[in-house]
Amino acid sequence: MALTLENLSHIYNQGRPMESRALEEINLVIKEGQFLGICGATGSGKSTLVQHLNGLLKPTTGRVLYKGRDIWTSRVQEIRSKVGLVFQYPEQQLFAEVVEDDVAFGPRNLGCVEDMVKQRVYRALEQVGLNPDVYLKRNPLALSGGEKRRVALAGVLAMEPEVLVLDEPTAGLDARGREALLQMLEELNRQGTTIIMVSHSMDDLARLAQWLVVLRKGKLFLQGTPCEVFAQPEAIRETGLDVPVITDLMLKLQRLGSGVDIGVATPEAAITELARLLRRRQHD
Amino acid sequence: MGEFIRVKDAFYRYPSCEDWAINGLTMSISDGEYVAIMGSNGSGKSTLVRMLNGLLKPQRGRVLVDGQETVDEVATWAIRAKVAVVFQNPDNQLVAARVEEDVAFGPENLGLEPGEIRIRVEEALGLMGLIELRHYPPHLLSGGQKQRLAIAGAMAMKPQVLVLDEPTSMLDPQGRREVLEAIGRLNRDEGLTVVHVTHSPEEAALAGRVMIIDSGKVALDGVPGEVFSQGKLLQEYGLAVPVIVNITDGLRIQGVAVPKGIIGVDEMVEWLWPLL
Repeated sequence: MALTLENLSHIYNQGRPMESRALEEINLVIKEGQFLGICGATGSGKSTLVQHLNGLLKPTTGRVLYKGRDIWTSRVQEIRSKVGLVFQYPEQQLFAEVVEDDVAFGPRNLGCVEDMVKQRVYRALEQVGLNPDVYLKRNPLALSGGEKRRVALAGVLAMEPEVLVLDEPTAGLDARGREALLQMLEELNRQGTTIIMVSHSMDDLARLAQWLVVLRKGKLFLQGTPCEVFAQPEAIRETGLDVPVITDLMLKLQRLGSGVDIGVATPEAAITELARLLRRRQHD
Repeated sequence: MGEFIRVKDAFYRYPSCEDWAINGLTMSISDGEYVAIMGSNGSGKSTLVRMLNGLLKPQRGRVLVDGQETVDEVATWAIRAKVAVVFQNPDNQLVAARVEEDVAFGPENLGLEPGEIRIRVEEALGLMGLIELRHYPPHLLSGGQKQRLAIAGAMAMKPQVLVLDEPTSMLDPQGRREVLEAIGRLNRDEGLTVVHVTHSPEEAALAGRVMIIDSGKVALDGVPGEVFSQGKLLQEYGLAVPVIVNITDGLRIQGVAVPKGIIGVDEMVEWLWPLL
């Protein structure tokens, strides 16, 4: 287990007139190497949940375990180098005058020696698809939106986290930037990084997530593989979300009596499945 | 349907930039149209949006709104009243402590009679389905409600064109649905001309016409079925096609004769299910 949430509840402003329950009794197991998707309408508790994963917020009740140990009984700072958190619009947090210093900020603060810092900065920039020789000395604030986002992400990757948590990482990117980012996350996951991604894009979640969690009003409403979760379109829509376009298509065809596999999640799989059915019909 | 907006060989370059953001762009939009504009980051689409109501003025060429030049200082206010713009983040556009006060802000600044202001606020709240929320403070609204409020504020100015710059990109699916339905209704029932800038091909497919901007020019312009059938070209412009188009393209490669112009789930189901 990478991370375990046990009966986690979080109440903002407890005991004051503004008291609000953001999370209630969440139980969740996140396996090592998993790609976990989290979705839910605005205000469902997604951002509160992810801020518990690296100790930015402390549970009001319940526990967060990292590899079986309560993160709040040991030095909580340790968890921050293991679990990297990328906020929404992370490029708003770029601050240095050159890309190199921005990306190096994390590893330097971890106490890495300068050679090691250099190596990590290089590697992190390569991972996000920015050629270090071209970008190291550039001003991060003068880059394009997509490039800035990648620099911000490199800053987190340079800490070499075992778990990477991302809150809406593709928001505001165009198609090209979005695709590049998703492929990068896929690759990181293939190399063993556990990834937790919050997203409003059901199409992205269907494609990437191995396990999907749906939050509703601070509670864990549904969880399962994407195809299990999306097989319940009414429940999904009731929470203010949507099913992916491909699932929508397959469910409608199924309802009309064709024997389609509603578990397909990618365009390629849909093409294969539909071509198979069309061919079968021709042979009848 | 007369021509309402005309952009003629327009150029615009930001100070201290080498490249032209708008580079000889020509297009026109007629009364009552619903036009989606797509383009990758840096294509010039946001610059174009800012030229449509004179926030930015062409350095060469012309932009005409209802026959008036946007470079004409005298026409500035008349043009702003005709072309309302709603941006991405509703939080940056709401000003008042209560929903109805926020909607009244524009008309008050036009110096209208209190009676007229009241009528306009009622109408705009009704159009956007916000009557029951009229006494709420805006910060307690959901994302979709906030964005509908921003649109209501624009509508209270009684514009003839509503320009929306990525109005759904910060919303959850429910909020997105609400806003898209509201936009469709304004165009269909109120005859409002809508210009909708979006990164989502599925959203663009809701419009009657899709315009692709690349390198500061119009690269493609047509009905959604036509534009989205050119997947390869769109990819070169850094754009995505609707998922359904990906699937129909793939089926054609496998030798299936898919009729032209299928871009949405319902059209796909209608064609496909009798064959399965």
